[in-house]
Amino acid sequence: MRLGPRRRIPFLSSGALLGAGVAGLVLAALLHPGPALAQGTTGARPASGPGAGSASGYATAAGVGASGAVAAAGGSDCLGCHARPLTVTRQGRTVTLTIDSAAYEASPHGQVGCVLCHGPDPHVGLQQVRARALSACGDCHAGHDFSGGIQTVVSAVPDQPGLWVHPAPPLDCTGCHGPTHAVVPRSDPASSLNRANVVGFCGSCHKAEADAYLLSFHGSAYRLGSTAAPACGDCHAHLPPVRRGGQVAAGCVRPLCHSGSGTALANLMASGAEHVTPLDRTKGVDGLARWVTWKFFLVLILLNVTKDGTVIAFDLACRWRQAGRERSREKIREGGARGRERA
Amino acid sequence: MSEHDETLRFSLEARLQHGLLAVSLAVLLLTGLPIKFATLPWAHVVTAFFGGFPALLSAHFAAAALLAGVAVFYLVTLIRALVRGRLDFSIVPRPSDFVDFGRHLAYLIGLRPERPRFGKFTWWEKFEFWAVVWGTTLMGLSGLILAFPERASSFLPRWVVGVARVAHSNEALLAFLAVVIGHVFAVHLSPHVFPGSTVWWNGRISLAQLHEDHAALYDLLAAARTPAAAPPPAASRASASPVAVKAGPRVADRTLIAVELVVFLGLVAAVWVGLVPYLLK
Repeated sequence: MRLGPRRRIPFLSSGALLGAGVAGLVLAALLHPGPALAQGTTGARPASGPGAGSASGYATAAGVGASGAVAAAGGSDCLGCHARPLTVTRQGRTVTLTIDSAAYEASPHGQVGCVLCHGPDPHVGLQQVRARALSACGDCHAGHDFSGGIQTVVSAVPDQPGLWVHPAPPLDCTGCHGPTHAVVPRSDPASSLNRANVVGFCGSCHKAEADAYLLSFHGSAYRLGSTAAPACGDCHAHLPPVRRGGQVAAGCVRPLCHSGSGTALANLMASGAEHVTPLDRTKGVDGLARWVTWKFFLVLILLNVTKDGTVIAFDLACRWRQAGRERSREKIREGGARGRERA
Repeated sequence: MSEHDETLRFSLEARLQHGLLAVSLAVLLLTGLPIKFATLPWAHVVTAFFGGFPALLSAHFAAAALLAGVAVFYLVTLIRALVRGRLDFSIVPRPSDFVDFGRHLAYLIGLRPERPRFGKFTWWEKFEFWAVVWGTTLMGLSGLILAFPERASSFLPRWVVGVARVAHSNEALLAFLAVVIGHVFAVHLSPHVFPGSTVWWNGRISLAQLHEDHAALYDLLAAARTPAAAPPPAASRASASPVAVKAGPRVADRTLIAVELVVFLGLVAAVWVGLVPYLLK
């Protein structure tokens, strides 16, 4: 479950940067904004200016003053400094140590406090704190069911990060779920993983897969507002669908959707490629068969429409000529009748 | 026999089958095309009209069940007719239909003076009938695969499921265009039936209409009604008919013809412009 040993943090490998514990966390958020920030999710906003500190670390910030009583969770105590504009300079880089206290307190993490993730004394060493912060998600979220608490996680995060779909920065936990201090549940419309956003969010990298999904029946149902149709995360959360096999398939067995056993569906999923469109003629038999079928029907449609159009056009032209002949015949008859009347 | 006499063309059973087919096809297209064209705004309007996607899909399944019922109904009447020895094979294409097709086109462009003398079913009616047989079979089979993919894939390769989706989706478009262009013209907008033939409703067709569209059948009927006066088969072709009906198709307002010409040519052009880019992909 621990990430520390696996994770490479190149710019810190010198070990020169010690102290200023919280800076590590904010760095993590800054360095791993991922597409979530690009989508406008509230996050730690870079700030500079008044609170800029020296290279010596958090000691500079102490002068800003602390709030009142130390809360058991460490929340208000820490925010006494970190809610204010607060930056330090590290090896020529300006690092923001400011936490958006409103976003943090509104997030589920606002209920758990700082020390649960950062430890009782965060100001011990940047590398330690950083490693601690990144592995901290798994402390609570791996293998646990939150049904009694903050949010039900349908699929628990697997214990081994090596099995994750996105195990490394910039797409680790925060890359998809949003910055730790401003994380919002998936049910929140602001979340990148919200049903309304997730296809566009994942599709910003996985364009071909997202496009193919939107052309599929699942994609059509999703677009037409079905709440049962799977979006990306319903198959791909944390683990690829084939590894989640039975777990994914069980969720698919519902009225109007799939019937039978989850095993049959898991076999279906494992038996061929998903996210294939008729345009993917080079993607093996799955793509080629679709492509051939598609072209066959396009030709059939064009031939049929052309046949109908030709016959209709000629039929109408023929009747046009007949109508003209009929009209001139009537004129002749009328003329003859008038002539007789005069006579 | 006068021009205003009528004869029964379609039995009550056939009309019932046609009506149920029409209802199920209309609902299937209305609820199915939004799934194919989910990116377009009208797809969302239709979905909202049905009260959401689950209701839309339920209506699609219900209409599919109705169509399956009609197919069974039709097969039962076929088998019954076969057992009684009354099976009518006149809908089966014959070489003469291809000749008729050529002669009809030649007549339409002015190369032949007379319309071909069609039998009980014209070449385009046979075409439409077999298109429905092909379409219902294909849509039924591919629809079943799509509704039960996990069961289908237990005895079919996985790519067949993918092919079923492509076929179901595109055959739907083919059926839609065949109905709105071919069938709607043949039975509604063609000037000689405008604003619509009523034979689907009461099963009756006027002798004048019969003489125009099914001259060979008309001759048989006339021969049966007035056996003494029946001309020999060789002469019947040349000697028109024993009753006074207008020679040639009834004529219609030229404005109607012009408007229809523009509408249909526009439709066909739109389909070409819309689909040819995909053909080249």
